Amino acid sequence: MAEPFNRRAFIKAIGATGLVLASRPSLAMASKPPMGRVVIVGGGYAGATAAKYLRLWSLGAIEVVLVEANRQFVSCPMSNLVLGGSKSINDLTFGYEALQANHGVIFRHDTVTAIDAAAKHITMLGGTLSYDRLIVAPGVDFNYQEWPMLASLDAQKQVPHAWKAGWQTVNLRQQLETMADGGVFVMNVPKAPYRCPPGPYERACQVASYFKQHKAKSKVIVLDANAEIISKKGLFAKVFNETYAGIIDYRPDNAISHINLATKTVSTEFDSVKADVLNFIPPQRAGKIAQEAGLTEKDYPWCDVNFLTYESKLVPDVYVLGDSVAAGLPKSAHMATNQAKVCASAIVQLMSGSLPDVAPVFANTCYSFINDHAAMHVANVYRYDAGKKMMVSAEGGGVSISPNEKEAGYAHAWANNIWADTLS
Amino acid sequence: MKNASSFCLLLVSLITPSLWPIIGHADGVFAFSPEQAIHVRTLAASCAACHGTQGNAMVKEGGNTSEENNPVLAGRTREDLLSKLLGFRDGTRKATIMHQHSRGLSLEEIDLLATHFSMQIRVIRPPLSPQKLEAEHG
Repeated sequence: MAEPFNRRAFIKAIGATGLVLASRPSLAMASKPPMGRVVIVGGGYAGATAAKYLRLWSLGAIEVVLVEANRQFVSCPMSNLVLGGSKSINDLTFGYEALQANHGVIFRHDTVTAIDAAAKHITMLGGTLSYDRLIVAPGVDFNYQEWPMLASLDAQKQVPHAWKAGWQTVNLRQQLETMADGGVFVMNVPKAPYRCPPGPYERACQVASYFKQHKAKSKVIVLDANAEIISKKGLFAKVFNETYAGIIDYRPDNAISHINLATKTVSTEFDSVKADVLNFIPPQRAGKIAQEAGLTEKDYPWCDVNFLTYESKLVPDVYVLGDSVAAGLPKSAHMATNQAKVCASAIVQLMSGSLPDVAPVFANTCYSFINDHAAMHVANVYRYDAGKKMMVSAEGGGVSISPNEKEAGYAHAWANNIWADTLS
Repeated sequence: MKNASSFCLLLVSLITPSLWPIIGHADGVFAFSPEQAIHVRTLAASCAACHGTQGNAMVKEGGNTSEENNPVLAGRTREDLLSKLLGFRDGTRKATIMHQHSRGLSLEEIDLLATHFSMQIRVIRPPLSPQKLEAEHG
């Protein structure tokens, strides 16, 4: 069934652009008829940012359809604070209305079931849609292949991952609140790469902060499948050993080998621990639709792209953004928005017959909260290396000297700014 | 200390062709080459996570000006932005983060960014309003 082109939304989109242009007379002359349609699959940080910047930089000449299975955007950054108790999930939840009203992005609440790259169209539960260029930004897919006992929704109500913010985050917080003092919270860190490298360590701190204030006899056990803390190592190690001495028991090189769901007992090569509250963060791979559309190669779960445009190396005119990309860099929200901007800029250039930037540069700033009032950062500039054909770390990057209150303020401001930049 | 920054500023001005037409013309026409324009648009957009779209950082009512409200870049003078970035870069200006970012940039990029943000129009916008999470969210 062919999807009728949404004229009303499109006319509204052009109208919105007209207003923007009218207030900036110097740009009015650049107004052009539509250059074509870009369809974006996934409205997370990467997809929503790409949608906005394609509209901005094409001066409204590219029609942008954003297809997303959820009506709301729930931010993963800051969601560990819900576990610590200093934020509510309702502080981190937003709508897509402003992207439509301010930029004329056409929002489709639907689930994509197939991509036909040869015919250049996608199939959704509610119809089909053709594209000139397609952006796939589906985030990560949790791989429960080795953990069939945790694959069902019922099982995840007992043992949530809470690694995509939403009801599981709320569920995990409720379990922590219900747990009696003296209980044990057990969580794992999956083998890298996974979404948000410092996230699990921040989570351990948030739960420990809650225990320290409200359940002083309780413990946090962190089972890390990696050989050591893989982000902000020195800072987290110091916080674990000093701020949370006697609360956080961090165990490197402790991959979980078995889970007994009924007793919430997990086994590692060396040990077996019983949890009162268990949080299992599964191993991850590129979003399901990316795998199904042939954007990953056999036996390699991430998508290879050209880092000047983010076009897939496997499928022409299909671009991949965000956590699904095999970039060898942190899978963070800020990085996802950076990739989206480089991609949007390149697509606007290519669709108007020009060349993309030959040497993109962008920055990543990532904060972690150790309690409700102190945060620490890692900051880095990344630069395209023409020899390696990838983004590499530039000089000068680094971390905080120690967690502090001033940076907690910066971190809250970071969240407010990236939310508004992505969604309005 | 101040002299070191001023010297750097002068040096950048002299070695960066895009600055030649504007020396002595604070309100003059800033010209980027097409390559520079494309390069700086994504680089500057990368700053938005902390400093807002086009350098228009969110202004939170009652927020601490220096902390919860991050510095606004849009519409500040090029000279001001240049001296701050160069000060962060050479360590004469104290920073928590910007010394690290500024050292990852070339002098030309610092100049492009200062010029870019000085040309943006200041727009005051409050933070985005959050919503109640709906039960149907997956």
